[in-house]
Amino acid sequence: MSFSRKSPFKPLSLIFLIIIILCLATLIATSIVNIILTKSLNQIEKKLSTVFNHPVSIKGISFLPPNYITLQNVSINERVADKQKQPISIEKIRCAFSLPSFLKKNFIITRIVLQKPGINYAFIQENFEEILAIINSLYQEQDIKMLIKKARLEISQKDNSSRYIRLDSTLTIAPDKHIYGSGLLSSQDFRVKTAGGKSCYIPALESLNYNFQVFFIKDEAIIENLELKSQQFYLKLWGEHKEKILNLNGHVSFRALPEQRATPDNSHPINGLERFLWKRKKENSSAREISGNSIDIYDLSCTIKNDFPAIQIKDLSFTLGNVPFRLKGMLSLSEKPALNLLFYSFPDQKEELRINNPKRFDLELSANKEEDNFNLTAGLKFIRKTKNRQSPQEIEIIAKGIDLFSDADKKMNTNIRAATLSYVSGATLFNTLFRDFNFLFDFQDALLKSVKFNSGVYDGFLQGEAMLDLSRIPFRGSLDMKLEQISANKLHGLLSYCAKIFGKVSSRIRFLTHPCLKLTGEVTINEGLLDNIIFFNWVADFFNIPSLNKIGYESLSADFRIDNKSINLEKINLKSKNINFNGYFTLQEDNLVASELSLYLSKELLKTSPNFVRLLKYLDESSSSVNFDFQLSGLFNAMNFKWLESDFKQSLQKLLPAYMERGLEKEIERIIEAISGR
Amino acid sequence: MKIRALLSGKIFICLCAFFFLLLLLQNKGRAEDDKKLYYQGVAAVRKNNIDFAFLYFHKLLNDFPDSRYREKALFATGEYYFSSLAYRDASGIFYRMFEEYPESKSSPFVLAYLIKIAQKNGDEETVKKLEKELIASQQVSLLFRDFKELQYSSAMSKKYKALYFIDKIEIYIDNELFAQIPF
Repeated sequence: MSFSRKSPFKPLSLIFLIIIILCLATLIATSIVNIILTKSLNQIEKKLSTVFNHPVSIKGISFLPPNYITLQNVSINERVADKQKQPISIEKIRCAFSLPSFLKKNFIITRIVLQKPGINYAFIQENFEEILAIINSLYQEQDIKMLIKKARLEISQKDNSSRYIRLDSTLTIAPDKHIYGSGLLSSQDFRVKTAGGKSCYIPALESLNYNFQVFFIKDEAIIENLELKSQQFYLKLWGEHKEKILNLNGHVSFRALPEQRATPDNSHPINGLERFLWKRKKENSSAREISGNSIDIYDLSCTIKNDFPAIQIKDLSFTLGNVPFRLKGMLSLSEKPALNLLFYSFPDQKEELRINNPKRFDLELSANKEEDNFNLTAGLKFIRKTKNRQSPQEIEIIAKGIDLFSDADKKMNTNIRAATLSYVSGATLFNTLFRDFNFLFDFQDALLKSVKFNSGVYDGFLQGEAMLDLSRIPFRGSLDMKLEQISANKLHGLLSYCAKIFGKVSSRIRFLTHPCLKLTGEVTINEGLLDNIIFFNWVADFFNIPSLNKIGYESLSADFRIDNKSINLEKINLKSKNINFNGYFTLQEDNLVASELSLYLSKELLKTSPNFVRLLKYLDESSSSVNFDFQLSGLFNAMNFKWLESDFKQSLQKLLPAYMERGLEKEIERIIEAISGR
Repeated sequence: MKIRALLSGKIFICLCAFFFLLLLLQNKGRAEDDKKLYYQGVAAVRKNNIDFAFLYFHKLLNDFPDSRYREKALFATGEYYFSSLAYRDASGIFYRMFEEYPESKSSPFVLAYLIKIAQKNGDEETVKKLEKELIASQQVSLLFRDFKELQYSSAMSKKYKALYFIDKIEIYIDNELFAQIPF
């Protein structure tokens, strides 16, 4: 009897056997290759060291079928001041090579994955040409795709701590020498050591998406396209980099306000249905997101010479709001950093036209490091335009001993040992001196920025807070400030009248920018002296009371309000033993005055006046003082004067003959003209 | 010969004196003409012939540009143009007056007319400038009075009065309020 039925397991077991044999063969081949590679590791290291001109070490090398080679812990080493450093270190490099080309005895890499590479920026700067040469050598017959995952670009600090920028990137190196790339840049929070062991907290930068297209020719890089994008801005550039000179053109848009997305009303059933039916559109990452609240800078062009640590900005020009600007200067990032910048508008306008251009300004900024602190000088020249004329203005700030540090809440603190603020308006100079000026910046809120400050000023001190509200356009700024214990006559640099006023000043000041510039507040001067104030000189002269030329007082106070239409002094109040003085005084923008003032002179004081003593008998015996109420009007330098009605005036009027009235009026006219300076 | 020479010298002097006198008389005549024109104008005003008065004053201005009656004639011409609603011509006359006679007694009233014309034209900026000029024209010190008064009589027989208060100026023409400028 013949056995005709075949076993079903035979073909299967054959296949299984073939698979096992193939696996074994692959395993054996892989092992052999790995052994060869491991034995060749030293040679590979030597070859790479020659290419990079620095010792290269590779901890491990392995082959993974069908076409992957993996290098473990690759690093480039260098010796700096007897210390071994690793300016480049890569946790893992995985290369894929083309199998068909390999079988034709051509080793062509098609894909490189760099896992957690760490690169030192200074090393790149110093070896840029060698790196360019390596990139040039990578070009081959077909594209190489390079994936860089979790890379760290390190910037070393003086105290051996480092700051790094994180990078995730996809690059394509094409045979025609183009390199295309895209990815994400971000940085971490870090601390920098400043003077006296303090540290300064620098918050993480916002993540940036980027893509670029670069073309290398020998030592020149042609940047065909470079785009940077974040939630707050979009930048597009193109240009070239050759022999340390970077030339770029482009434009940039900033989102003026944080994006405010309307939150959908999910409670309504229709909205829920909409969400169910309609898919959300995917964002096009290459599209520009410019809203109506953006600030756009056009015609951006720059020429920068990068001679690290010196960076020279030869020219950075752009147009913003139809106004052309230019920035020039020098930045040194050496151990003693320094800065020298000039930023100005209408750079190409002829000087004779520019000097009268109300939109022109010149900002000069210089800073340098001295011991452990910084010094800064800033000067701004511009034209202030009023209704009828324009006059040149100049602001200068000189700050010495600037120190930056962060508090426990990571808020930025600035301390300035001494500062001078000068303001020149036409031919008038205003000067203020500060010492130990402290700022505390709170920029954590996206829409509300604030700075708290306190400082010694002259022989007193000030403290306050400035705020900037970014939730609406135009932005709204405010400043609240308190001054205490400042000697009034030391303020003559700010107000020339203060040279004749003595006493201790206390004041509250509020400054607002919206809806118009407005300064309000109150000021009190205690326990002081008015020395030869022109108005009281006249009173002294008129009443023949010389003691009125110098008036000691308990307090002198007023509320003030200044805006672009008028200067107002309200609730003016002078309290002294024998004199009281109160009222209001307003000076409008067209130089017109409106004022009512009351002067109270005690009987004791009037008794010392030979002119007045005879008239005292006409006073009501119960009253201890005589009041003179008067009104001022007209132009500031040609004021009109009127003695307002009072019982004393009526009594006096009954006594005086008409010709004496007229004589007195002429005398008053003469004095008013003298005071007005007409 | 001597006598002849003496005689010819005397004749020469007499001739010179004669021509000089002629010249004087001619000028006196001319002066008489502008005065005549002026008073003819004033007389016409009295007879209520305002148009004829304007013609006399106008001729005076054209024929005698250096006349001592020029200021009065100019003002009268401006008054006539204003009352005839020829504001452009009135404005030209009064601006000329303001430039040529800034210290004149008539200057507050010249400014008042110009303010009125600017108001009729809706030119707010010019109104403000002119009001400021008017306020600056007088600095007053009022001790026992409530106002300072300035008066002027025009060739058109109108009585002008300016009252300077501490906070306003009132202009009257023939005791009727013409303009009030508060400040």
